Amino acid sequence: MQTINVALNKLIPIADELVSIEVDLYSSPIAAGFPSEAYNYIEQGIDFNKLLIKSKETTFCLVAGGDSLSGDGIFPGDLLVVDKLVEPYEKSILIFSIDGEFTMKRLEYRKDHIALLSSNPKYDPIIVKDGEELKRWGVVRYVIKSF
Amino acid sequence: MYALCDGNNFFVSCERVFDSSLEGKPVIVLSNNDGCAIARSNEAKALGIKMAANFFEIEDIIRKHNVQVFSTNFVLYADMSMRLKGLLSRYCPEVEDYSIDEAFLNFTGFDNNNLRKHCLEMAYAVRQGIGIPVSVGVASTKTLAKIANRFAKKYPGYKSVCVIDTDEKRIKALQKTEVGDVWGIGYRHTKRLQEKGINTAYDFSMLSRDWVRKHMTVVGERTWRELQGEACIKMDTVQPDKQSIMVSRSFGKMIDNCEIIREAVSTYACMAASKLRKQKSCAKSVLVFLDTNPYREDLPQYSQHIIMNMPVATSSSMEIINYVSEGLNKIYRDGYKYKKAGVMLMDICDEKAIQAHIWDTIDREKHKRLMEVLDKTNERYGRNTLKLAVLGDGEQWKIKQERLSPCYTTRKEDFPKVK
Repeated sequence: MQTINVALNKLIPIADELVSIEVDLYSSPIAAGFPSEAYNYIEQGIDFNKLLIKSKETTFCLVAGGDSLSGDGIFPGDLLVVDKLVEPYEKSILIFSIDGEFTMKRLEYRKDHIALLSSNPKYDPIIVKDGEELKRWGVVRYVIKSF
Repeated sequence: MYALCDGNNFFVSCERVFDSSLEGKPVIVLSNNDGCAIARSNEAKALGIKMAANFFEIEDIIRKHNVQVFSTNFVLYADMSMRLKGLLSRYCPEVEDYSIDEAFLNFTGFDNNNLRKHCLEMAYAVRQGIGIPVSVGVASTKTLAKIANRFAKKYPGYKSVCVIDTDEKRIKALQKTEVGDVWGIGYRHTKRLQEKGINTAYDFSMLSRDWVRKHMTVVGERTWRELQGEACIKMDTVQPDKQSIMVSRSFGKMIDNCEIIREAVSTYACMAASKLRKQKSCAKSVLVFLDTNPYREDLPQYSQHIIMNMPVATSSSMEIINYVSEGLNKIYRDGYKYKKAGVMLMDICDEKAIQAHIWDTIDREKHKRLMEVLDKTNERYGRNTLKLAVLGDGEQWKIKQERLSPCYTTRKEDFPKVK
């Protein structure tokens, strides 16, 4: 009993001062109940910059304005996250800049040439023969749509 | 080894990244108020358009050759500059941000035999990844790297990277460089050296060290030593806090109304105060000045400034504007057409080192919180989202930027459209 009183006397004056303190809910789990392992696994939430931008300096935002890749679900107004530095790969969507206009096509490697495809039957494929220069502006890494 | 990497015709190149129709055409970018040419494409240079050429002097060439003309789009150029410096730092651990389009790189510890290849890769990454063509000069000192950079730009054979890594190459480069083109040798010294028969950088490097020190002080001697290959100018990667902050602009047109000028100087004061808060400083005094147009000799001329001392060092836009406004009242005279005004914050100290004042009537905590909200809002939602009412809309005095390109990289409504 005495030990409890001593403990109370110690506690009460301190408690008076503790009008408001900030409790970090994550870092100090309360011992009552089961201590949850989960507290050790708190993460920072989702950072879309990290998720969508692999190379900050060379990533640009463009806006889709045409329907040449409508078959892939890309429609006017969609936001295109474009990396200028990344090397094109099979089936990647490339951005070209020709005479001041941006266009986009899907890249397909074929036997002796490269094909630049639309996914809209309105537009014919463009064939780039071996030896012809193919100068891309960038590669579309993500498309952001609003619904 | 050091390298100097810079963007070729940087401002023009920034415009070309987003408008490929400008490729191969003469393009120029004009200074603030669209006054004179501050960047020229090679095609524009070939037409004889000189650096800083006045817009009115070259109007005929512009029309005749269909030169594409742009106003300075600093939002775009600053963003592209940040990208450039960021990309360079992937290739070199120590990058000195020397100017908007130039950076010094310290390649100490790198394998010299591999440096050219490394820099070629870096130049390719910038060219492809950001769209800006760059030139790289590599040498044992910064001054020599500057010279190497000129060669990289001038001779296509270098494929944009020139390395001076032997004494033979160094001497050859110095012989082919005019003394006035050496970094650190100004106009006055150039004239004097030429009178003495010193025409090339090599001639200069052959002068005695004593003579150089005697006639060009230790600064000239340092340049001389750097040309010998002895690195004297170290990397300067930490930007010291500014001791004074100046914001001044020419007006879009001449103004003879005190209230409109008050809007302008209040805006400049706000811009300066925001810079001040960014470096966590306060200012003890502020200078306001006012000028008529000195080129209009037919009009009466007036030029005046005043320094206002503030009782307590401050970084509050509201407080600084009050003093600027009071200063303007004291120097403004009716009957003149004004062309330029400016504000300079002085006596800058750390915000933690402020001396309180016994008769201080201002609630500094409140000002501080308000400024924090102002800065945070504007940082998040764009400049001038939130501003003080006294700033007005700037319709009357804002700089002329009639040929401004879109802010392609930073504003959602300006993102390039893909057909």
